[in-house]
Amino acid sequence: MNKKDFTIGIGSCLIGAAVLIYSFFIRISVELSEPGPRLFPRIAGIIFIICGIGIIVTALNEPAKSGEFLGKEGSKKLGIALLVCFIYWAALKILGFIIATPFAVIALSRIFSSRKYNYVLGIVVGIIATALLYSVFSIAFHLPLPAGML
Amino acid sequence: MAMFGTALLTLLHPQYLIPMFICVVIGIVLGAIPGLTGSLGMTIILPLTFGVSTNMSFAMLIGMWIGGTSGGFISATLLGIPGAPSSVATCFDAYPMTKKGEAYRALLIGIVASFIGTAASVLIAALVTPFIAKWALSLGPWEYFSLCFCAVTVVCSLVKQNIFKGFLGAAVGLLLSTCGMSPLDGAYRFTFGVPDLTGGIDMLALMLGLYAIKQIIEDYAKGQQSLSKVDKLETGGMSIVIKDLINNIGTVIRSFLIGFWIGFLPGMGSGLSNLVAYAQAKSAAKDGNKWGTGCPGGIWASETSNNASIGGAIIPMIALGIPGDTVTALLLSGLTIHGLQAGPLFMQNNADLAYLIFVCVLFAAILTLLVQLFGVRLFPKILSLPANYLYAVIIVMCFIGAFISTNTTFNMLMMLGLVLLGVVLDYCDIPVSPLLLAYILGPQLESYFRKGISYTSDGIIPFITRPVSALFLIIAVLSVIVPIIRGHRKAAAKAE
Repeated sequence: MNKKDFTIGIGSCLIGAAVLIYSFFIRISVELSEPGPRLFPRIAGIIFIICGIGIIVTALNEPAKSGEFLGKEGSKKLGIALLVCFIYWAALKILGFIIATPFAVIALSRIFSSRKYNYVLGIVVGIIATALLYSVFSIAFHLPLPAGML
Repeated sequence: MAMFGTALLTLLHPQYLIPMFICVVIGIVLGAIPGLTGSLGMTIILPLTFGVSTNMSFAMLIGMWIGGTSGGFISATLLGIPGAPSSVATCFDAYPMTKKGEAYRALLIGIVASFIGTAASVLIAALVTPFIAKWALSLGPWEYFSLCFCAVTVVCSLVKQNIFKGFLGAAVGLLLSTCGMSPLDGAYRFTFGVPDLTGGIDMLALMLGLYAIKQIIEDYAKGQQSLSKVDKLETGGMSIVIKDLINNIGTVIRSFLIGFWIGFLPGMGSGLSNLVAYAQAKSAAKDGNKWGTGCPGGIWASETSNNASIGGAIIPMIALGIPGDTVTALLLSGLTIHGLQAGPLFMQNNADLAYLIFVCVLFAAILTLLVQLFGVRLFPKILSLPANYLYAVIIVMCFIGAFISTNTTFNMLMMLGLVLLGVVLDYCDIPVSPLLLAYILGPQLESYFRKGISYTSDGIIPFITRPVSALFLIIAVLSVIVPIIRGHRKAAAKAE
């Protein structure tokens, strides 16, 4: 049995059931001459359940598959990159674009670097990239950038 | 024809030519770097289009698209790694040619083949699209629903390993599209009392999260970012390429037709056409047994077909409002940003813009040809760019894009949530293409279905009794059943 797909199938069925239950709480107008706003969420929920059952049945007839998605090291790298992104989001919200971005560029280019990291170059790139992006978006195109709370 | 001329004159203005040129160059660079693609570049510059005119935004987006599609062959030739899925088959013969010391010739073939594919396909598209749009005007909500349904089903059925996972991807997309206010009556769905969700899941946040950031972070986690060094190119002339073209003219025409047709079909873009065209050309070639060891015919087949898909994909996008692949979905987003909707009425009400899109593709193809011909010696340098800085800046630009789209920091958080969703989907082997198509077509599917039901008292009967609608539904059903029957037959044959 393919345990991974079996679990995915179960998860899909559970999501489908939750969507179906939720659809009953969508408010509708009393007099409708057509299916109304509940129909498509219900269709999505039913597809989730049908696909879930299909995946479970296929998984039961399949041998277990070997090979990891990212491996231990890869998952750790993924986690770090995501963490930096979430910190950058929080920094944008609090500190704003101009303060947060140079640090984000340095941090991200540091973790993406496969060779010995040149911090001086990283700082230069961080500052120049921030200045360039600010000039293009905010000054040239008059588009808003996160100002922060400070 | 007059519209075509007007569009041509509009685009000749430096105001449009210069941004298009810049985007073509960036597109080539992104296309050349494995892991980055022209469509990723389009996703990143989409937010910029908020601040520019509709004409300008299409000049930029299309420049990025054409440059990116064409640039994919550079790393395929010099490193043996396809820069984009559209250049997988290019590796088979281009890289062996590089190893034989014929990199310059292989690159020139790629440049010329890309141009022929793009330019010829867009000219045909410009001729065919008005007729298809005119025909589409006679269709009602029943036919449109069935057409959208057929498009989603065909894309789901293309999933090779497990068709249920294809449909699960579509279900996720459909569910995401139902978030926010419903079409027709404006009922709130899946908003959970969060005011930022009343507008639904933002398309730009979805594109940036599911494509750009997820792709970069996953490549980093998989350790697919370091590239080997490339030597300087040998010298040579164009005459040998022209001789090559004459010798391979049959391959070029056949591959062009295959690429154009595959581009026209929903979900089957340049990523598939280059492989099909290569296989067809190889089986038809007299020296087919030598292909894969450095035969120019392989590059002609792959590069002509993947670029011919461009013109093919534009037809359903403009005439029917149905995106054939990710790139045309991004172009549709560009239209939405400017308050426009593709479809049969688009050709009638915005014919000037429709022709501008065709001319943009043609201009971008010419610019790509010139940039590549004059910059061919710089190609090895593109591949030695410090990718870590590029990736960092791209991620920052994604955050900017998500913020600009709705002017809220919540949208950036939603984008990060969609990155997580993308990683989970990849872990589960659930494809993203059906998700994207279902997400884009979801509101249309719902509104056409509900209109179709309310227009008559016959319920769902007209969906089956109207001939065109019935035809699309039959195709949709067959697209699911045929692969299942084939799979069973193959399994039975294996068991015997």
